[in-house]
Amino acid sequence: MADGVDVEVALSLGAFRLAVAWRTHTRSVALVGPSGSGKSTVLRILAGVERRARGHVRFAGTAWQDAATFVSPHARGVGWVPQDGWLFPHLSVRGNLAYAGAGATDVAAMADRLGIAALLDRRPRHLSGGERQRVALGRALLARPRLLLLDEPFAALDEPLRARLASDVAALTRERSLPVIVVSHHAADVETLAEERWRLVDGTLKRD
Amino acid sequence: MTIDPFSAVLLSLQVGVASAIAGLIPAVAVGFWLARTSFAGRWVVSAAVLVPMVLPPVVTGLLLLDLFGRHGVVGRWLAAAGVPVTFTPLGAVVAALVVGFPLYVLAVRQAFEAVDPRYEEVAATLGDPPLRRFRRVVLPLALPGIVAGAVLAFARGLGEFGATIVLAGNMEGRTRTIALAVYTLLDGPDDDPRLRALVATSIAIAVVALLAYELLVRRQRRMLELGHG
Amino acid sequence: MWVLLHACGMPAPPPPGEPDRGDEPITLTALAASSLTDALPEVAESWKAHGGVASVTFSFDSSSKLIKQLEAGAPADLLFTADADTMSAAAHQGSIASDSRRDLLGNVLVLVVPAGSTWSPTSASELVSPSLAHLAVAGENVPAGKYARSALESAGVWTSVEPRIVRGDNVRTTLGWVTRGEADAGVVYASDAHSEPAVRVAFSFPPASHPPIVYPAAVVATTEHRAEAAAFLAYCASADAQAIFAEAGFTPPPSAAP
Repeated sequence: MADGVDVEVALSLGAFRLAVAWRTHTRSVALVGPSGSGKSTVLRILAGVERRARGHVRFAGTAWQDAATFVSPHARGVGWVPQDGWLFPHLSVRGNLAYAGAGATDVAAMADRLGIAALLDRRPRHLSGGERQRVALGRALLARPRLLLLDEPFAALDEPLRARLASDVAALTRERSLPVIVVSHHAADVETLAEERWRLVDGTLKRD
Repeated sequence: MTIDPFSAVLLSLQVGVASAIAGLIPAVAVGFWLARTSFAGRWVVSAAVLVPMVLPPVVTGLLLLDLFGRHGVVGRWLAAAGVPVTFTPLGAVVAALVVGFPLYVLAVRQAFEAVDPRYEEVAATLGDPPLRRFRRVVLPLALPGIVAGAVLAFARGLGEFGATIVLAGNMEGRTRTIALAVYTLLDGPDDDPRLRALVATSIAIAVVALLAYELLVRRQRRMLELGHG
Repeated sequence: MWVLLHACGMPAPPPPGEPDRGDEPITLTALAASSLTDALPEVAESWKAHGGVASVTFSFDSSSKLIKQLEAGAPADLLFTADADTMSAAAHQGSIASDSRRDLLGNVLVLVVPAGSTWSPTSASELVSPSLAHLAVAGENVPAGKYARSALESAGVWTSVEPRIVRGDNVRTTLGWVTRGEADAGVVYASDAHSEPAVRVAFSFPPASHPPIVYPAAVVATTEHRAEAAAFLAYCASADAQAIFAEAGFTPPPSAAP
């Protein structure tokens, strides 16, 4: 990613403190660290849905946040797949996948790729955890993001499927030259998906 | 004009429905704002909305008279424009609306609070600006709860007596709702069949409305659980 | 229980059904028509000041509702209604001691207008005027409402006026509409008009245009304070009390002779 990610933010919410100064040009990066350390928060700040942090956030040369500006999440082109997926309950799988405006062919192709083609007319209520995870992934990818943020994307999947999907996502992001930041506890995920590993400890990020 | 129970029921239903429809946009606007804002002074708005609920209805009626009466602050302009409020069915609608508004806002606010902000955040990252994601995600998910609020406001407005009689005047065939008709009949013979019929009808309407409210609230709850995994 | 209380040195309440022992202050409960709201309590105060043997508390409502309360067993000692029919109904249902019944007061039916009004009709026939957008009247089932209808029918204006009638749930509401100018005029008792400075009496309805307005009073059949209740009734008929009522706008009862 030309110019890559350039983040320098501080966030203070009650007892929770985060002070991150981070620069990387690497295309695929993993964030690791103990639970509750703030990894998800870093992703939220990058996505633009966490407005309480102070500092600056730049991506590929564009200032997404600094003292003078705050670019709204809908204008950033970020694909964010939070933990638990958060599929829209009132839409079918197809409706969720197509949310950002993708055409029927693209939706079908992605569904095939992720192994969820048989579920297109189902409601999120009737999906298993793993199925929901995959739909959430597809929904974000179909929005043609410039940066992909994955928060424990394969948590609900069992081993074989997990490994397969991880390598699928890795291939997909390589095909599109899509920068990706993934938060994960799972060593194998990190291996497959990321070229670089950063550890978040005591509110600061350090290269692993 | 003798007291006609059919006209009372018809009028009550019309007034109730009209007040529920008229109150929809204000209740949604205020309810959504209260559910989502972090403005420190929001408790003032919240308390102000509840005022009709704690005032004696007759006092509410008198305040409405001061506002919407022929010589009232707002009323004089309305009357000049040919839209009088006092002693008209419109007055009954206004009374029902004002008296039902606190419950309306309360229910709508709960409906929006039940929709996790996370859904909006995800919709935002998928490219939707605020108004579009409100329309495509928040509103559909809150809708059963909003309709429940409308039903509650309808039922409350239907049963209103004090504010209605002061503002609308208990005119047979024009503003004599069920509650007003029952009140008038109470001074007559006890065995008047109209009295029993009207009491039974108003109980039936209330029961149906409250059942509908329950079902709608449950429907929203069911829709939102297990939605995200 | 009675013995225990006595042993503790506390004065025990008299067992129910026994006549008063006269050593505790007695409070009488009177159910009275709404139009007596201002005057009756004043008369009760005057009675106390002139040696009356009891205090009186009041419950004011429309006459028809009062007799229904009595029929349902509400405890009371006295009943004051605003028309003879209601009192007769009370007698018929056995709620009053018929031998205690007496006509206490009369009243006059008047037409009031807002104090500052430029329109001032001099008789009921003028009510057909378009200046009257709304006429405030009591409910059709309460005495005041019935008197009003009779008076308007007698004047031949009922059909013209009826669609413009707005009915208050009590005289406060009715007068309230007139004082605010929402209703151009109202039909109320002279005693009600008397209590509200923001309205002015335009004219009185001729007494012959409606059944005589009479306020009967009686002792309630189930009272436990028969003597005291009768004493208060007697005081209400006395010159002192009648003067207070007259001050408030009431008249002596219409004579029984036709």
